[in-house]
This record gives sequence, C-alpha cells and structure tokens, in this order.
Amino acid sequence: MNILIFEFNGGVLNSADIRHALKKKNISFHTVSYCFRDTAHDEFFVKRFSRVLAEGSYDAVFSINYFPLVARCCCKAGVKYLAWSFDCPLNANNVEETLALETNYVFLFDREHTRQYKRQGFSNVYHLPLAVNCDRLDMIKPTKQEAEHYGADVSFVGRFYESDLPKFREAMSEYDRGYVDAVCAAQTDLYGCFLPDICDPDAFIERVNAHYAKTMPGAGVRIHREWLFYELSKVVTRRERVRLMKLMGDSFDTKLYSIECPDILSSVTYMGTCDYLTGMPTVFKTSRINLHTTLRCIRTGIPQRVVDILGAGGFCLANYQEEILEHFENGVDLVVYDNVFDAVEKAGYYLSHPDEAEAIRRSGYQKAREYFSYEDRLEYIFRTAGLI
Amino acid sequence: MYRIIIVTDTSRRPQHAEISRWIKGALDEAETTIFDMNCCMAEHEKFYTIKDSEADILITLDCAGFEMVNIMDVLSYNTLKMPMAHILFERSSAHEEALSHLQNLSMFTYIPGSEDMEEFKAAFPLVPNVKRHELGDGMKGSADYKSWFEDYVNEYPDL
Repeated sequence: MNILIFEFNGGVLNSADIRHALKKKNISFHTVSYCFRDTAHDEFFVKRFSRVLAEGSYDAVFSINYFPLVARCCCKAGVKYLAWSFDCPLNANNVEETLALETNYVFLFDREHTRQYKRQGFSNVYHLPLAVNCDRLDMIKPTKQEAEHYGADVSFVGRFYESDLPKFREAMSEYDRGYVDAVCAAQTDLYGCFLPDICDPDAFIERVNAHYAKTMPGAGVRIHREWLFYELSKVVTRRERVRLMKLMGDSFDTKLYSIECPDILSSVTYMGTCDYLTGMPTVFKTSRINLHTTLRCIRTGIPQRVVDILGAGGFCLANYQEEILEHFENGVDLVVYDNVFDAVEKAGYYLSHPDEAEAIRRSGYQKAREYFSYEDRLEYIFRTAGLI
Repeated sequence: MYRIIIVTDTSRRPQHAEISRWIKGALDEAETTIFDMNCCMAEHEKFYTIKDSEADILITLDCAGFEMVNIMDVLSYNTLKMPMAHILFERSSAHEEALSHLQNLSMFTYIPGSEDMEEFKAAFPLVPNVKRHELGDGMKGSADYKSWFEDYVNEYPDL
C-alpha cells in the first residue's frame, strides 16, 4: 500500500504519531504540505495537488482533519480520501458540499456527530475514537527536577476559551439575553446532554436575527446554528473550568498550564504553557491527579486530552462523557465526576489513597496502550475503505 | 502591485546584500522589502517579522531562514500562506540540512542551470517543485530577474 499524507499548515502535533504508526505497519507514504489562504478556492493547489496524484501511484490520500479541496482533487483522480477528524465539529466551511463525494471516507471521534451526519444522509462518515502513541510517551522519563517543577497534587493542561457570544448577547433583546443566560446556566451542570440539540434553537436564531435586522439595519449581523452551538460550548466550558480550578486551587496544591490564568484563580499556581510533545506528558507523569473537562460541543466522544493523560500513565479525573464509560471503567481505569463539587471530593479521596490511585493509573495506561493505538485505528480506517 | 519580501543571510554569503538589491531594482513595479537573517533578533522574532510583513510573495536566497523550524521540526516557512521562491545560487553542504525538510507545495526551488535536475530531485525528495534558473551567480543585470519573476508568477493563477 502507498499512502499520500496531506498536511495542512505544517501538520498537527499528532502527525508524527501517524507516520510512526505507518512505519510500524510497513506502509510506505509520501507527505505533501500546504497552507490554504482560502480553503474553498485555490486554483494553484488544485493544479499542483492533482499533478502529484497523477504522477504518483497512491492507494489513498490521508489527512488529519477534513479538507474540501483535497476531497475534490481525490474524487476527480479516483483516489480514496481518508480524513480522520480530530476537530469537533468538522472545521470546514460548507463541508456538506463535498462530504458525500464517493471517494471520501471521513472518520469522526464523536459518535453523536457521526449520527447527525448519517441522519443527513452522509453514509461515508464513520465513528472512530482517537488514539495515543504510548511508544513515544514511554520514552519520556522525568528527572527529579522536572518532577518538582511540573508535578503537583492536581494539574490541568488546557484552554479557557474566549467566546464572542457575550458581544452578540449584548445586542439581543432582554428576553433573548435571558434565554441565553438560562441555557448556559443549565448546561454548565448538565453532562451527557447538549441542550441546544433539544431546545429548538431555530426559533431563537430567527428571533435574534430579526432583532438585529431591526435594531442594526444594514449592519448585516446574523448568527447561525453552528456558530451558536460552538460559542455556547465555549462559554459553558470556560465557566466549568474556571469554577473547577478555583475549587481545586482552594483545596489542593494545583498547577495550571494554559495561555491565560483568569484573575479569580489566585490560589492556583500558574505555570504558563507547556509543549504538547514533551512538557505535557511530563506534567501528566509527575502530577498525582490530571483534570480534564471536555469542550461541550463534543457530545459523546473521548477527547484527545483524556487519551493523552492515560497513555502517558497519568491519573485522569474527567467529566462524564458517554463514550469514556464505554471504553474505560470508572474507578478502575480513570475517575469520572458528576459535577465540580464531586470532582473536588474525589480528588481529595484519591490524594488520601495513593495506592488506589496508583492502581487506577496503571490500569488506565494498560487500556490506553492496548485499545487506543494509532496502528489499530489505521487498520480500521484502511479496512473500512476497502484497502485491506 | 505585489508586495515581496526577500530573505537573505549575509553571514553565510555577503553577496546576498548586492544580489537582493539587484532583484529589488529589477522588480521595480513591486514593493520589495529585504530582511537579512544576519541581525540581532531572536529566531522567533525573525520569523514573525517575516510573517507580519504580509507579503504576497516570499523569496529566499540560498536557503536563508531555513534554520527556523518549529517544535515538530517542520520548516517555519511551511506555515506561511504565501507563494515562496527559493533561489539557490550555489550548492553547498549548508543546504543539505535545509533541503532535507519537507517543503510546502506552494514553494518553488530554483537551482542553477548547470545542476543535474534529476540528481537534485533524487537527493532532495521532499522538495516538491524544482526548476532551473539562468541567473548565474546572482550578480546579474535587471533583465534576467524580470523574466525569471514573470515566469515564476505564472505558476500562480490566483496571484
């Protein structure tokens, strides 16, 4: 088999893990990198990439995340396009215009999103959980100094997400400001259910857009469903993460690795950022508890960060996600919390019971290593596409 | 009118100063900036200066700036959303490391007319687009650069 890997913008942090897995499976590959100025129209890219496809002899093109122009070129060339999305939702404008192309095989890590696309009639969209390269992570062995620097009782590596929703909220009617506030408040404490999916957002969107048209005529301000869902998710996720970190910081030795530290988190030790490839695994290996709260637009899927923690051999304390409990056992492989107060209580328990925590940490690592490898995921992708 | 940034490295090849002036003079209808890697800036500052130039086209001389790589060991140039032309006036061991990195599909690498194209492509398989130039050692008059540039921009229908 001969694969052409397409990398956007120099690739993502997991690109090297994909290449490592392909080498382990003795699959030959060539890589093309490109940075679109316009992901929907790029005559130069179409011309050159089509030439690459024509001059090579590739069984398929593979990319992390989905690129409509790559899909078009592959379809025209009759070459299968395997896109494994690490984004949720799919991060491409007007993706429906190309998603149904017959050469596409698109893999999403969130099962609910997969179902939504299938309900819309896209039969070439498949569910596939993410993966972790334990070979790479096993090679990271923190020194005593690194353990002192990076380690803590509780650590969190992640963003707080700035949302544009507050700005748009200000221009809404009083009623709809209240509506948005109520949805955000309710969603913050609700796991396993995404309220906008069931609250009929279309009526809300129509009302808001009508209000904008009336109060800001000619400004062309409008919101749409995908934007609203994503921005709501960011607001709710930020709220939960800040709340959780505040409670953790007030109770335990807590370190935060992020691009920002909200002012309210004065009891937390802010460490700035850490790099994904070496710094982050070191945090996971040297911290007694590693927190994760999922970006709320991920309905059911297991976030990359959770498998990163487990694959590094870290103890993971995460919010409830439907698929986490399908693949891992709560209290055996990792620990799932029901709300932020439950998270603090459980953190306290496992900090006081290190032997139990150690057993969970080891079990979680074994499961990640055995069931979440890139090699197995690629095997599934190739089998689904009829390549093996 | 194109905005062009030419990246040179006079620490490795002092002639870059004169060559870049020739190019700038030849492309008199473009707005051209010259950035020399031989300056007192941290590497990330150099990259962001180049990136923030918002040029339409980037031209490098003899792999100037190829030492800038990110944490994934990827050429920093690969993350720029602009067409790029890399002109090699000489083949040296300093270029071996630079050309061993995967290049973005929007990059064209121009090798001297005397070079063996197939040998070059075999030696550097991660260079996607290779063409020959007839610019000699670079110390030429304006006419050669003008026709080279016209040939180059014809590769980009969207430009």
